[in-house]
This record gives sequence, structure tokens and C-alpha cells, in this order.
Amino acid sequence: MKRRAFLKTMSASGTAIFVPSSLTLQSLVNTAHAAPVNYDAANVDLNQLTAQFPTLERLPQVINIFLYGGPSELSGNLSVIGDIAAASQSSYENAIPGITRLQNDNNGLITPRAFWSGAGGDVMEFLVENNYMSVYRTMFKRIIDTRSHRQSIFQNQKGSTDTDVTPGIGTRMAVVMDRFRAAFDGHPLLDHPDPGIGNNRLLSELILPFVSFEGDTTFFQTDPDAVVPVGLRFNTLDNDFDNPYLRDNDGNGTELEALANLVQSPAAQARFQRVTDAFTSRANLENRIQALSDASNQTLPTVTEVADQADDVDGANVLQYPNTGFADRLRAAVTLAVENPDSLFITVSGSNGLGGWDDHNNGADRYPDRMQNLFEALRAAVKHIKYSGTQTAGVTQTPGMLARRTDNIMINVIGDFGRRCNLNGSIGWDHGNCQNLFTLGGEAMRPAGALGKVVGTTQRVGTVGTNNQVQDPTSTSYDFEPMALASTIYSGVGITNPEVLTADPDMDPGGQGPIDQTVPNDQPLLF
Amino acid sequence: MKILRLSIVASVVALASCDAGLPSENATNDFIPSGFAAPLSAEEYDSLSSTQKYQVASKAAAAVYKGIPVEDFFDLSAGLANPTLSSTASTYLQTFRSSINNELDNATVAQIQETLLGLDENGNPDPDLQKYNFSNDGKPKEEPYALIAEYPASRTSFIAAISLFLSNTIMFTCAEEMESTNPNDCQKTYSFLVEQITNRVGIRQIIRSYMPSIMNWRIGRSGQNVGVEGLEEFLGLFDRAEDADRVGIACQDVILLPEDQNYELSSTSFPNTEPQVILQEDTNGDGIGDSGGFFITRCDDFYNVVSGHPLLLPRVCEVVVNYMMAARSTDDRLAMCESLVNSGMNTFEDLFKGIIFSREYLMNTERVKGFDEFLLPTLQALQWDSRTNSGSIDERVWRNMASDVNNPLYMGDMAWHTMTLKIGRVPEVPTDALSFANFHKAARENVLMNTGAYRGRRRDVNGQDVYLPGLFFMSDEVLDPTLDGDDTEDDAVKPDIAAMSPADFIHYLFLTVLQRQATAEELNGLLVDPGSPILVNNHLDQDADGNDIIRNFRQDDVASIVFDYISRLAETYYVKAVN
Repeated sequence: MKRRAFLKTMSASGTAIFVPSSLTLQSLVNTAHAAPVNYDAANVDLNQLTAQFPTLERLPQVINIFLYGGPSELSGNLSVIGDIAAASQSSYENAIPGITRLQNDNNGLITPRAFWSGAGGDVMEFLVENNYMSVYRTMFKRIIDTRSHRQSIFQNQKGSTDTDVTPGIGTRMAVVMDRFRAAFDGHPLLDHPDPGIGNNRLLSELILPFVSFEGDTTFFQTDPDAVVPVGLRFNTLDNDFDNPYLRDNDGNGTELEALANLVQSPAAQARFQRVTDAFTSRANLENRIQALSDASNQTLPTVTEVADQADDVDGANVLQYPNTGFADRLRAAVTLAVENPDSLFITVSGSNGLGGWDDHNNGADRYPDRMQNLFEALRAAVKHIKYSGTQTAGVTQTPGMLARRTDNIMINVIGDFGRRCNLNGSIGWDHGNCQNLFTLGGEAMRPAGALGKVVGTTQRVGTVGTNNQVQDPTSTSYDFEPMALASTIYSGVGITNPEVLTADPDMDPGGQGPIDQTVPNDQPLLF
Repeated sequence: MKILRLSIVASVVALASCDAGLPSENATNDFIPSGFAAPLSAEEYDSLSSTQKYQVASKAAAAVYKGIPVEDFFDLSAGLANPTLSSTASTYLQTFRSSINNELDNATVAQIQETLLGLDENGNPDPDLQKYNFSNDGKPKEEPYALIAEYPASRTSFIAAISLFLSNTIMFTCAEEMESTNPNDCQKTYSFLVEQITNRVGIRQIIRSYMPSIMNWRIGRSGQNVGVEGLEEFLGLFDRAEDADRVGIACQDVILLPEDQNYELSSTSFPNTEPQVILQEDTNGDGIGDSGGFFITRCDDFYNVVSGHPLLLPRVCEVVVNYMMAARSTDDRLAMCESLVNSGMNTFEDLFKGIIFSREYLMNTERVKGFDEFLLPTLQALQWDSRTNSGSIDERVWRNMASDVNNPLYMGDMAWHTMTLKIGRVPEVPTDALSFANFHKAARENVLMNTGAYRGRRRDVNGQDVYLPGLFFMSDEVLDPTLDGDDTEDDAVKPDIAAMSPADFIHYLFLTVLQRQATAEELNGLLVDPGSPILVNNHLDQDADGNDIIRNFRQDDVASIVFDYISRLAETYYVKAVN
């Protein structure tokens, strides 16, 4: 019996009558947790990375957008909507008129690539058509098919099926980078375009390498078995690059800070470690945020290519983001990535709070608008990246005046899980499994043909007229576990065997390798 | 509901400890757990130093958002290096527990309501007469704080505090962030909890009543998801997708209407008729339930299963203990819940009192404070009065912290929203750089260094000249009645404060916020080091005998410096262990 299955059996046994099952499980797992992440088995080779991707000028930067609550996959996948609608408990056509018809058929909502027009589908068409994005329709949990928010978030943000007392993806990256710092120190991929910062840098000199725009997050869950040095710990920023790190009325600051540092012994610092660390971060950020704030206040780039001059530019073709809370967050994340090449892994919440995409109801009215807002912001983001980088004709510097390529910046969008395809009695969708991965930008760190396609084919499964109907990958389709995305991110920083970081000794001992980005397009144009 | 298997039900109600411990004067009605949750005994409390007694008392009070002014606990005239207890301090914990066992009388409650509502002479609410200013939409999130601040320690204040606490957990959040909820759901959930707990309704019955409510359904929204969340939140059972599907079938006739029908809870005339089996055990480890379980046919059956399930009380305990004892080991938290459940915990009052008065909580638990847990007790210890109208802790203090996204006190910027998040507050107070920077900035600049809010001062209150006493100053007319009737009431330094040496004054400030005296190193840095801002700014003087004293009416200036220093200490943000 697998270890975890055994533990669950134990926790459900009669001995647990007066014990919370999760506590019991946690307790047993803590005791049994004898297989920490095997960081030392990783191999890091930045030269191999530069050989594989010759235009890669600096370390890849990943912006990871997480849609908490788990969005329906339908916005990006109406490929079998006819079958889904026919089998649904509630009527799709009554709730969402046009959902089963092609766009060229009497105001239908299905776009040429089977996206949902009005739910971001037209923007998706633009992004795929112009090689800004690929859509993978079959990110699918086979090893542990959980439909729980908690377990799914843990699995996706830790990049492992082993979710008990284990670190997040960002922490795993940071620990490996620290342990293999010799591979990074002085490497040209760490060179900085600001002459004042310069080249031949040490890993420890990176500025804000790990950043969250969503506060504390499982992506950066700490590892009880590994220490992350202060310089590689994550920091949290807000959309406006406000600077709460700066103390007002600090005329006595020098003297009082010196006294506080004198009095707080190492033992006291260890005793109050969490707040001590937060004070350290505050001091580090106090002066750095101002530069980012200044950069964020610069005018956005001018869009020069005709194909891009639509919808999100002003009269002078200056780029504009939509006026939404999510767009503000995304703009801040892109600004950070563009103006601070050292920010390697940035997390952004795709909702205002946890649960924003948990559409058990409101499938017809709220979901399409929310998805439309998401993709309009993403469209602005890829243009922000493109027209800030010197790889684009006519561009000499970023809005913050750095001369750099920006084609190392990648955006990934996922959520907890996909949803069921049955439209329930509240005109929503309950929890499912198979979901879309939307991956954008980062041309310099991808193989040829990685962008501009739709990969994966699905089919409806489940009994007609019941709630438990989902879209699963077809038997011939390419699909991958959520851990494969983590593995892809790890490989971006030169880890040549990333599967060791996603391994779970019990459930997935071999771990998951990166997504195969060479799989060809699966979606023929429908019209 | 037909129960297939009862073998897992083994009712064990432990006998209450023979040693009733320190707190109870009314042991027959009071919950006294034994084992790991055993209360701190009278002997143990008596054996503590005076300062430790203050730490323990303050910790118990702070758990329900109360603070204790130093002058209420110590005899200030005896100095504070080795303080002498006031007449009531030696039995403080007993008195406090007795207080929270007794409800306020109706007249007192009415008087407090009048203060909060600002009733005019005709009994009509007048916003200008309100002690606090609330926002229209955010009032349900703001008023509980005002009530807790205004109610004296009592069962009434205790229930207000624990109802607020529960409203911020995943079990009873009103999830205001969701599209399908609204602020009125927050008011209804909070009022529901207050009423039920006040009426001594047990935990099982409260959850049984809550599950079918529109507040719960506006969060769950579909039968299947009410199943998922009911199993997770109230039983701690995750990954029960098949069970949740069966709950969805049992609840097929219950429907949350869409937005254009105001998310009302409705039903159809076509209930499920086919019994569903849920919560079967997987005895052979193949991932499929094969033994025991419960039949449910209608949604009510599911509510009955959950509210009667053996895992319910342990899970409820787990949720609360995960906050209150966040930094303790899993084994310790487990032991606490085993102890409480085995001791016969039945009500939310049992649960919270069991934790708060336990030796393990009072002596050995250390964790980061939430901002509200810092603010309310600190304000009370500072002898603050909102009517001083000073900065963000003025009459708008509760809306500032609970609702006003543009205010530095706003707890959402500290990732410590109130009644907002679908999953409630996370158990461990967020200390990521941004959240903590906002906490620190609010605590430092808007509370501790905002001496005008608590120094003691004369203000115009509703058109009347009123002297609001505070931490350092009082009306000169109190000290010298012959001044009564002159045009103004002026500041006078409180006699005990005026008589303090600089070192004792520093101790006074430290005790007020940190519940400890300054160390020798700190006294040296603040009073001897030539670079100390207290010396540089010439805040010290000498009396006729050549002894150093705080220069008259500079107490607030010194406090601003000392509190600035204290705000830089990590321990300021912790509920601290006393051992």
C-alpha cells in the first residue's frame, strides 16, 4: 500500500474518533516525513541553457497567474460543446444563447479555434494567431485526481503530489539555486543591463528574485528541511509599488534602530524569527521600491506594428491596460519583470481573493466577463513586454530606460482545476479536473514552434443528465500533470533534471519532466 | 436518516478535573478541562512574579481583545522595577473569568447601545452624537469591534469577541468578497452566532442550524459544493468527491437562484427519492469506500450526518486551535483538542475558555498577533479615547481598520481582512514583507507614536468642553478642586506619573505595550547614552534634590520616542510565552 493511502486509512480508523482527521493525518505525516526534497540530486547547467537557446540574454523570468477557485475550461475549449450541451442537466442555449454555434452561424459564440467569443475567445484568437500564446487543453491530474481546492492548490503551487509539509515551487527553485550557486556566480545570464549594476555578478546580488503580488502564498511555502538565504527569499509588493516599507517621522531612526539591533540577541531573533525576517525584508525594500515606483509611473510603450494597433492603444498608439483590478496587478508584475531583470519568479492572483473563479453559479453571467477582462489584460501585457525590449524593431529601451531584450519573460495562467461541463441547477459548474494552461511570451526560452498553437483534445465523459460530467483527454491526446509546469519552470533556470524536484517518493517516485512544447497543434480551424 | 454503522461512535465524556483550577467560582456551570488543556492553577498563578502575573492576565484578556492599564494592575507609587500588585491584581484571573461568566444587565447594554447609536433626547439615532462613525456598507464588519471595545469584561463582551473570531474562520465566514454574498449576510451570521451562543446552544446544534441557512448556501451555491465544503469545513474530510456528488443528489431540490433573482434560496417540487450512501470507510486501502457509512436522501439528512458526526467537535476545535496556538507543534495542538473533547466540550464558550485559561496557552504559547489583537488591547492599555480625534484612531477607527481600503489601519493590506475571505483568515498571521510592513507602519505611526490619542487632553465633544483623561495627563481641576469653574480645564500630570523616576517611567511605557520592564541595556540606551533622543531633545530635568526627572509635560514626547523604539522590536508583534 502506498504510504499516503496507508495514512489516510489510519486517520479514518476507529482510533480517530476524537481526533480531527486532518490533524491525525498531519501528525502521522510529520512523523513519517522522512523523504525531503532531494535538492542535491538536481543538476544545474546554465551553459547548456544558453546553447539550447542562443538568443537568451539573461535568466528566464516567469510571471505565474493563478486563478483561484478553478475556472471552467470552456472559455478556451468549446471543441465538444455540442455533446456537452446535449447531455447537460440545465440548458446551455437558454443560459448562454449562441454557445453551441459557430461565430459565422447567426451570432454564434464559437471562434475558429473553438474558443468562447465574449469570454476572452476573440482575444485568444489574436494571441494564438500572432504567436504570442499557446493553449494546452489537457493539464490533467492522473496520479491524484483531487477535486478539493486545498489539495489542488497545494499540488499545483508546490509542483508535487506530496503536499504535506513540503515547499512551494518558488522555494524549491531558490534552494536549488543556492545549493548550486557556483553555477550562477559570474555567469553572463546574471548580467544586468544597468551599467551601474553591471556584469560578473554573484547569485547573492540578485535584486528581488522572488516576488508575490498576492501576499503570502503556497508558491513560497517554506521547507522545514532547507534554509533559503535572505537574498533569495520571496518578497511581497502591491500593485502601486506603494512603499509601506518606508518609515515616516523617522528622525530618531538611526539611534533607535541601533539600539534595537544591539538588544535583539541572536536568541531573540531566532525566537521571533518570522517578524525578524519581515523586518529584514522591510529594510531591504525601503529604498528599492522607489525606483520601481518611478518606473511604473512612466508612460507605457508605443505600439508600432499595425497588427497590434487595436483596442488597447490610445490615439497616439500608446499602450493602455484595461481599467480593472486584475489589469492593475498584471501591469505591476510586468513592470517589475521588465524593469528588474533579476525578478525570476513572480506570482499574481487572478482574482480579488481566494474563490474568485469558483463558479458553482453565475456561469452564464459573471464568468464570461471575468474571462474577457483577464484576456484583455493579458493582451496588453504581452505588448508591454514586446514593446519594452530591444528584440523588437525600433525599441531601444524600456519605459524605465533599461536597454534589454524582454523575450525571456513568460506568463503562465492556470487555476486549481478545471470544472465539470454539466451546467448545474444554479447555472454554474462544480469542481472537475482537466484544465487549460495558457502560456504566453518568452520566445527566447522556448523551442521553435512552441507558440501559436492549441494542443490537446478532449471528450465529454459521465452519464448524460447527471452532474458528474467532465471533459477528459481523449485516448490519443497529449496531456500532462500540473507538476510538469513546475518542471518547465525549473528547467528555465538551468536545472537539467527537474523531475527530481517534482518527485513524490510514494505516489510519483520518478517525478514529472517538463511540458513537451514541440507537440504540434491539435485544433484545426473550424471555419 | 438511517445510520448504517454506529461502531465508531464511542461517547466518552471525561469527568471534570477534581482540581477545578484557578478560574472558576462557579464550577458547576463552568467548563474545566483536564489533561493538556488543564487550566493554570491558583498555585501556579500565585507562584509567578508580579510582572509574570501581569503577562498572564494581559494574555488572557487580549485573547478577547481586552487590555489592562498598568495602573490598574500595579501600585505605581511603589516603583516599577520590582512592582507591587494593586489590590485586585492578585486575583485578576479569577475575577476575569467570573466576569466573562456573567452577562451585562440590560440597563448597561442599553446605555452602551445609546453611546454607539448616538440617540438624541427623543431616542432617535443622531450620527453627530455617535461615539464612533461607521460606514454604510461596512457597518456589519465594524460594529462588533465597537461593541467589544465598549462592553466591560462580561459574558456579553466574551460572546461578542468569540462570535467575531468565528466569523473570521472558514466555518462561519460571510465571505463578503464573493459575488453571491452581501454585507447583510455578515450581519446575519454574526448576530446568529451571538444569539445562539448567548442561549447556550451547543456547537452541534449551531452548525445544524447554520448549514441550511442562506448565508451558507450563498457561499456553497450548489448542492454538490455545499457537500464538499460541509465535509471539509466541519469534519475536516478532504478529497471526498464521490460523497459530495451524492450530497449534490440529495440536495437536488435546493437551489440558489441567480444574481437577477438576488441569490435567494429556493427549492423545487422534485426532491431526490433514492437513498445515497456517504462517508463509507475504505477498509482495504484501494481508495474506494466499502464499509459502513450513512444513508442520506434529502439535504436535511446530510446536515444531520455532519452535525452528529464524531469528527465534528474535534474538527471545530482544530480550526480554533490552529489560530490560537498557531506556532505550537501539531502534536501539541492535537493534544489540546483531545483534551478539550475528552473533557466534554459542548459549546463554543467551553472551547474558547478551555483554550484561553489553559496553562499551555497562558504559559507556553507564542505566536504572531493579528492586527486587531494588537490594536484593541493596546488601545485599552494606553487609556485611549476615540474622542481625542487624533489621526486614524479617531471616531472612525473601526471603519478604518475593517473597511476603508485607503486607510493605513486597513487590515486587508495586512492580509488580515475581517469577514471578507471565503476561506476566512489563514491560521498563521501573514508576515510576508508587504503585510507586515503595513502592520508595522500602522502600529508605529498611527497608534504608538500618535500620543495625542491617549495622552489625556481637553476636547470638544458634541459641543461640550470635556477633559478626556489618558496615560499621562488629567484635568487640573481634578487635582485642585479650587480651579473648578474657571474657564478651562488644563493638563496636569497624573501624580503617580509625575513622581516617577525616568527609569520607572520607561518601565511604565514598556509594561503598557510589551508587558515587561526595560532591560538594563535598554535603559542605558534610552537614558544614559549621550546619543539618546531623550537626552538630545532635553526631555530630562533635575528636581530640587538633584535627581533626574522627566521634564514636566514632556511625558508624551518621551513616550513617542520609547514607543518608536518598541515598535522596532519583533516581540511587540507576538503573543508571548511567559515561561
